[in-house]
Amino acid sequence: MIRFIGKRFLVAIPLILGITFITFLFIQIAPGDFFDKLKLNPQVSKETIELYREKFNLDKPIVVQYFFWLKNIIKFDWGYSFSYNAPVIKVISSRALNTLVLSISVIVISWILVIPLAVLAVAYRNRFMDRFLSFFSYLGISTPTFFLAFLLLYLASFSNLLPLGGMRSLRFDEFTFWRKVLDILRHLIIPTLVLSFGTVASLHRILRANLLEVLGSSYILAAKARGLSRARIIYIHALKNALNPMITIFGYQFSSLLSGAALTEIICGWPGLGQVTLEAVVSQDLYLVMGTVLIAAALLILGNLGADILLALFDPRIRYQTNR
Amino acid sequence: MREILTVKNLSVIYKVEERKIYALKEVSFSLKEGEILGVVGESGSGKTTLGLSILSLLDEKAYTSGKIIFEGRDIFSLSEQDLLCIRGRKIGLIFQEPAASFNPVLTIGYQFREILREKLNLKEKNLVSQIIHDSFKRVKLVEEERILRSYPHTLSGGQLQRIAIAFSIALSPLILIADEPTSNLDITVESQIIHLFLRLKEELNLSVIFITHNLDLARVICDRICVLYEGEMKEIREKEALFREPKDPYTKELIEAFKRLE
Amino acid sequence: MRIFKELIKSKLAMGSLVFLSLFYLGAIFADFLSPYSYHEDDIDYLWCPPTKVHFFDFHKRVFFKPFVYKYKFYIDQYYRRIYYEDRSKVYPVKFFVHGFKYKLLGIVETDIHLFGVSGVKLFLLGADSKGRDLFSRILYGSRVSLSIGLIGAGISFFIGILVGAISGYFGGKIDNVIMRLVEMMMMVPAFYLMLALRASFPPNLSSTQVYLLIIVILSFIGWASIARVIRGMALSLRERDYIYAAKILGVSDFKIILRHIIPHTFSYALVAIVLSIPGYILGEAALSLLGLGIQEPQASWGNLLSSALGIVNIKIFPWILTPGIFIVVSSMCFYILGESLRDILDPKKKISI
Repeated sequence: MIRFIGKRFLVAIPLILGITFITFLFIQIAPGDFFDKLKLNPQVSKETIELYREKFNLDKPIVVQYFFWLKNIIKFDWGYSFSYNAPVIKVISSRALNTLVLSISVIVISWILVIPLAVLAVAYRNRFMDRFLSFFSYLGISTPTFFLAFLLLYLASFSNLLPLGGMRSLRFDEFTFWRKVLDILRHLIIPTLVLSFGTVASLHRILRANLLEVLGSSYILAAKARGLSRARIIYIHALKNALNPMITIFGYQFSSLLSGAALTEIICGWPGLGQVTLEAVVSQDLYLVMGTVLIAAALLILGNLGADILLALFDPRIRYQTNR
Repeated sequence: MREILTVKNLSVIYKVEERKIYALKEVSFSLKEGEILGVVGESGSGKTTLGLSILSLLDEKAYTSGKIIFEGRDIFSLSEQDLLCIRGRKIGLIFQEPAASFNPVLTIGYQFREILREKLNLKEKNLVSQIIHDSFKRVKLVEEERILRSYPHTLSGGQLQRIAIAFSIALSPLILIADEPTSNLDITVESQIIHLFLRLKEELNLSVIFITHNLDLARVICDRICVLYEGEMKEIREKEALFREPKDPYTKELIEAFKRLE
Repeated sequence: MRIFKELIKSKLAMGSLVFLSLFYLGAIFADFLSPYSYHEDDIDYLWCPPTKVHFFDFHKRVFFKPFVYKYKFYIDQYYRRIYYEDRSKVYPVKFFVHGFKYKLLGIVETDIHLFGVSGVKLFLLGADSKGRDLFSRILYGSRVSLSIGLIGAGISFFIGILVGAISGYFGGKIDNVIMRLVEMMMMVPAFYLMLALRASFPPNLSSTQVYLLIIVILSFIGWASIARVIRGMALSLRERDYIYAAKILGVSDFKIILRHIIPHTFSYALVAIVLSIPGYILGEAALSLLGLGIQEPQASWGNLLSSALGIVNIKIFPWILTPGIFIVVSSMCFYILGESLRDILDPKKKISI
């Protein structure tokens, strides 16, 4: 088991190196750099710009710069963000946390919703409820997250129940601790709903198909023959088998959440990684971009690793294979 | 001996693209208490359908007509609730492919305890362990601890079939339906299982419906034999009578075919 | 072909096919179908709501003929325009009218449009911040959005099938290296990669350059998953007898891949292409929405939605969300079509190409 995890870590390292190097390359290749803006400012002298350049090694060849960056990363110095005027780590950590909070709430909500919905669809197979749910799942995967975000914000604008974006209300600092928590949760609702809709949609189709396949298998018939109740058969025997192959999806879910979350974050004003990446890319803030990509890649790899570990835990057949 | 199960004019029909296909056609017979009744036929004769019908486990798409009388009631008229009482508890079913009758992601122990808990309402740990132990002893399974902790895919076909039988007898059913229980096992294992069946019939006074395609096997183990061909029951007789003077032409062919194999 | 016959049986699939055909026809004949050009702005009609088409006016004695009124506006307390109809004059909607010049199918010069009104503006779906007709812009926008979908998917396919087939066929080290690369590509969150790639090019590019750039970026992200699927198939295909036979006969590896392996992956490839197109449409829409894609005054469904980013606008001018509906519908149609195709080509149903 430990060897298994260790192997995955080994594979992860060149992956991260590759991704970050490619990103570094692309940003550097882009014509112009952050200092273009500074140059336009008459108050900043040429010497200052040159000093900045030297300090951040921006006058050396790309590969060298990359190695400097790598060296610093290991020392936990992630560089300096020009646009925020703060160390990259500071900027990223709070943002990354927000994205993580959003992603986790989406994962929790979508799995809580999808299991009963899929069971419902299977119980009323091919009847109205099933077809209705299938229609909704098609809708869910076809609707772009940004469009859904717009729609929900539009609907929310009609009442005062839900805030229209952001993460905190204006008078946040005056709130008591619990009120603060509540406030953040209120702001979390719309982005979570937006992302959950698509997630539930795609999960539903897979889970429903898995459930149907499992319910047709011999051991389910055997369980019925032994007189186990329908509820028990569906919820324990069938579900466990139907959910197992979906555990790997966790990893990919995490990946697509990071991607999809970015756009939703931007539209809903949720201050997460996505938002900051967009700004960084647009302003060509080199170290900030590198930082966000690094974190995103790391989170992804962790997500995939987590999925593999979970799979090994839950499916005894895989466990035996890895032990050999 | 009294009859504990009576099948009257049982027909099972599937509708496939406007056509009617008879899986079973007007089958009638009775199972006497304490006997082993063999149901012999080739593939597609409807043997498995017969087994499933008795427990009302047929596919939704199947139409049934006729009656199956058990304990004074027609099985087809029972509610889901009543059927749950009968399945496993009063009538058990053993499948052909032992590996396929266990949930691959749950341990044998879990599945065994589950059945005892759900069907016999047993919660006391000691009682449960006792019953499991007794059942394993009866089917002559050793290494009880290891097996209980194992997952189905790590055990052999022979072991699994014994475990399936253990599951069934632990519930003390009146009738056991065995659908080709040895067809997927090695010969040596097969003979062990057959001996097990004979012993169980003696020790527990179990009534068995033994479904097989192997006439010789039926001859060894059964008291009466019923011959099934394309959904119709061709003949049902005491086994020796059947072999001495088969009345139905198909039965004759079957006996001839097996003789040639010798 | 057999496939087509099977497809016709499914009402849902046929419906999707019909819708998509309509959309693509709309894109091709955008000039003809639009009463106005995509960049025709009009100060008098900023943010004008959709024009109501009437059929009855008892005063003017008009029955059963489509017509519109002139839209006038006043400024309210919040400095917003409130539009109202001026019922003093009736402006009939005519068909096959003369309008702005264009080249039908890029060849024939003409100026005939399907419908139009003279004297006032007819905004079927409302107007945007510059007084441009949203309906016309959606039609022109569909050219970009729908074509990027097809072309992007096509290129990804081409690359993906080649890479996948080579990787699966040769196996061993080549396979290993390529698959690591593919996994890496798949692991990178698409959105971030898209942003990073876009950022490596100057922000101000001409629309044509941006169009090509988007295709390149989307293809770059998309080929990985196809390669994986094709590689899996190639791995199993290469064990088949006729492949061994071909090898013994001395057929070169290249030819084997081209003639034997790849054609057998077509059925899966086709399904995968259709199912991936919505992804490209959405990708382009996302980029354009953020201002990194197609720029004004050109239209694409994505950049038409960019005005919705100022959330206030959605409340006051809800019709600007219409392009989104087109995106949803076309995506749904592609998914339905793809799934129907997959069901048809499922080997369990014993129908093959």
